[in-house]
Amino acid sequence: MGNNRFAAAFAAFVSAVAVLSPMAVWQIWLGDPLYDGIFGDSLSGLPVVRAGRIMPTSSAASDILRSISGRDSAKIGGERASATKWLWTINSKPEDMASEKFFRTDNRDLQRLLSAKGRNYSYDDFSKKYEALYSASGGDSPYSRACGSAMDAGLEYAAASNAFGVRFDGDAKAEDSLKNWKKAIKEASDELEKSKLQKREPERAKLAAASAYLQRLRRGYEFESPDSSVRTVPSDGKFESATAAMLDRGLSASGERILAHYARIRDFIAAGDKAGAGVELGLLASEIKKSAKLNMFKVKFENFANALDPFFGGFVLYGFSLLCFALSAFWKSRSEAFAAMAAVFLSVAVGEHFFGICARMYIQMRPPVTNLYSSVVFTGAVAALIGLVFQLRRGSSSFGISAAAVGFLSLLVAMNLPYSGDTMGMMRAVLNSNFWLTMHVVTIMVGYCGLFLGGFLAAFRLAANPFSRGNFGMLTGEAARNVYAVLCFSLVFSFAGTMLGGIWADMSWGRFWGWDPKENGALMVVLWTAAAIHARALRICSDRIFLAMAVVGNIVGAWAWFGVNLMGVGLHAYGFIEGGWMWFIAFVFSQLLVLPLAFYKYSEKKAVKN
Amino acid sequence: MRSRFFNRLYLLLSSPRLTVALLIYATVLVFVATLAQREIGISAVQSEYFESFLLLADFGVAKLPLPGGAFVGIVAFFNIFLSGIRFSRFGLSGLGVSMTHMALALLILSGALQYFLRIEGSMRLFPATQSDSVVLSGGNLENKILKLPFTVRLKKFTEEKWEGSSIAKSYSSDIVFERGGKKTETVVSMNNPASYGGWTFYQMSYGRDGSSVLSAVKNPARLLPWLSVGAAFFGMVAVFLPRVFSGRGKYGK
Repeated sequence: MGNNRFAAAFAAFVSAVAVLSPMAVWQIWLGDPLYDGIFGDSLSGLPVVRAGRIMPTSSAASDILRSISGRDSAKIGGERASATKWLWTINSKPEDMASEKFFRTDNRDLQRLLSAKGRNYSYDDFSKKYEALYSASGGDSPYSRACGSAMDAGLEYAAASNAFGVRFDGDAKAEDSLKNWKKAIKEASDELEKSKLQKREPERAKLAAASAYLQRLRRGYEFESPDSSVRTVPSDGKFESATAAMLDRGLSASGERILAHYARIRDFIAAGDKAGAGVELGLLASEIKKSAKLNMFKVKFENFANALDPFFGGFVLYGFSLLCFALSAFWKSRSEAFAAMAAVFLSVAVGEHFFGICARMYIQMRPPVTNLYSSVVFTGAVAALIGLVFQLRRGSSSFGISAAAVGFLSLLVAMNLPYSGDTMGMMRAVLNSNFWLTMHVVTIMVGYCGLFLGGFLAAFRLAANPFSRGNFGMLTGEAARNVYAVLCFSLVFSFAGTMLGGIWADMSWGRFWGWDPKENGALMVVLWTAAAIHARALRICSDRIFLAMAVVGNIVGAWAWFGVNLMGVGLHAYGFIEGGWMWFIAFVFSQLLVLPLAFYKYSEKKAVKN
Repeated sequence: MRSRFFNRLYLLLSSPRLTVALLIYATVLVFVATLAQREIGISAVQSEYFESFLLLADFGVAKLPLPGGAFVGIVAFFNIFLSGIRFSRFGLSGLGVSMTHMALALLILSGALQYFLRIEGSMRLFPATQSDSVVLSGGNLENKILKLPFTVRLKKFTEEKWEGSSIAKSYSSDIVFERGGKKTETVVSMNNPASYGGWTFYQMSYGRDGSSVLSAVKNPARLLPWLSVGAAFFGMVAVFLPRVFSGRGKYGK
């Protein structure tokens, strides 16, 4: 007993380290307080607007970096840099950064076209092949889709490298560009006024500078798409991109000052003067605080949550928990100590998982499920929580293992979903806040998590049967009882969720049911769960066949959730997933492999002999 | 002889095996139909797979005749109804089971009623003009025009976007219903329909010319699915909730 307590305390300590490690690594070792500090003023905590939402620079920067490279951090000159540092570096040293291989493509033909080393290529590689990319994009083949996304990534990079100000060719500093631009404008408008008074043609030479700058700014502005540009300059209650702010004749005085601060920080960084940049940052932060009426706590909190990376910490802890459960199953003499450690890891993992979800809800001010990414994260969390509660109440480790596996898998899938999910962007009008929609989505996701929890419990038992030396019949019977309870729970929620969806559709579209693929998927889940429950309740099938039906439930659930999106038709297709088919089929195949085990013949006699 | 036939039919239609078989077959049917939507579209699948008694499923290599959704629905209706008569029990749990299943039978019935009674169409409204014609959709009414006994006039169409993006936040139409000189003003927006004279109008889409497209639905049986779904849910709660609190039944039978 004392041993177990020691093990639990040790696990709690390891958990604390695991929770804090992503933050500690950046705060202490890899990061730079100017860019990555989370408590004082830092460049990562400055508020900007992207995709219709106010967020700290760190969120916008990792958004952009992930959409072009698929990663959260970048290597600059062989050194790892945070997304915020990356964004500032491509702004302040655009010439040096153009040859760094930040971009990534998985398409082989595109790699050949760009003569990329492996998967990565640079902005220079991109701009050299711009024409070829442009003409190849727009088709429907994987290659032309890849060209299309390379075009998007290149343009996004070009826009992002002017996020904090514009430096014209020939100017040494961004601040000079700002001054030259103002001077040129003044010169040109004076000349125009004078010529009007004197009733003569304006002198072309005096307009030339302004019109050249104007063209340059306009071109930059056209690169910025309204959904992806980073708007850094607050002015009169709204945010503008640096380029738009320079073009804006009615920019407020504080907007002008903020623009100048940004330009100076950019110049300090380009010159390698961190102390100067720090001082300028302090001035900029207080200016923004004064002029833009924002909830700065929320921005700071989001910056903190980014640094903490709760889903990554949860992922690691689920992994530890799985490992300890496995050790406790095989290392008989230390079984209880490992089980205690596994339970601690699992509890902390679930806690951190839910903290991440609550943080997202607070930041977005939205219900927990708004898109495919958040649906995966949410379902995993609820399933893990249910498993954990059963584990703690019943002490049956098969619940714990399933809970850890579901949590682990959900975060793994969520982290590897093609990038688009985690922008926390705003929802389209149809999906915009509605009580019934929220109820529908959350309820149905709770139902799905019951389905998967039951499915994994069943799969675990079927797979473990050939290895267990003991009372197969009893273990299978117990597992079937547990799975039955979980599936009953799942049925109530998936039925209620599906029908709430009908009620919502009836209220907003005037039809209760429209046989949309996603609706069909949900209906399939309800029908299949009902079939499994009836088969057992009406005593039609044996325990093993019932477990097999629960495993098939995993496939039905995966189809309803992902397969339907892969089909890409209908109102609900919120994300076509390139290459997602492979993972889907791999999952289905893995479940099919388990099914024949339902026919594995065991006998009590054989068990005794062994 | 006759009574033996009916007895056998009764035993067959109320058999638990038929219940499970129907549920499994329905899952497969929905799956096959969803796949077919890629080829022939949602509305064709609806009429060929779900509203039919028999269908020819195309599996690429061979075509296979299968029972359609209407057939499954009718058999399921009798299965639920007769199983209820044959197996129903007393007590809270038994009551819950009966309630759930009767509500599901009602849900199937209301699906059939919707098929016969529900009319759907769309209306394109231009600013400051009125209209009384609905372009019908669905089945053999496709593209027929129906005259309403009242007129609808679009006063104004508004579209709002999220700050700094091209994503629509909301759109809405200010409209006026008029019948026999009596005017009623209202606003229709996404997720907020308006009802008038037995018809309900939903914000569906809009044109670049400032026009607004509303979908118009007349559905006398609209409340039936709501009722049956609610009843089924409360029935399920009555079945499962006591088991959560009573120690014995918690983990199944």
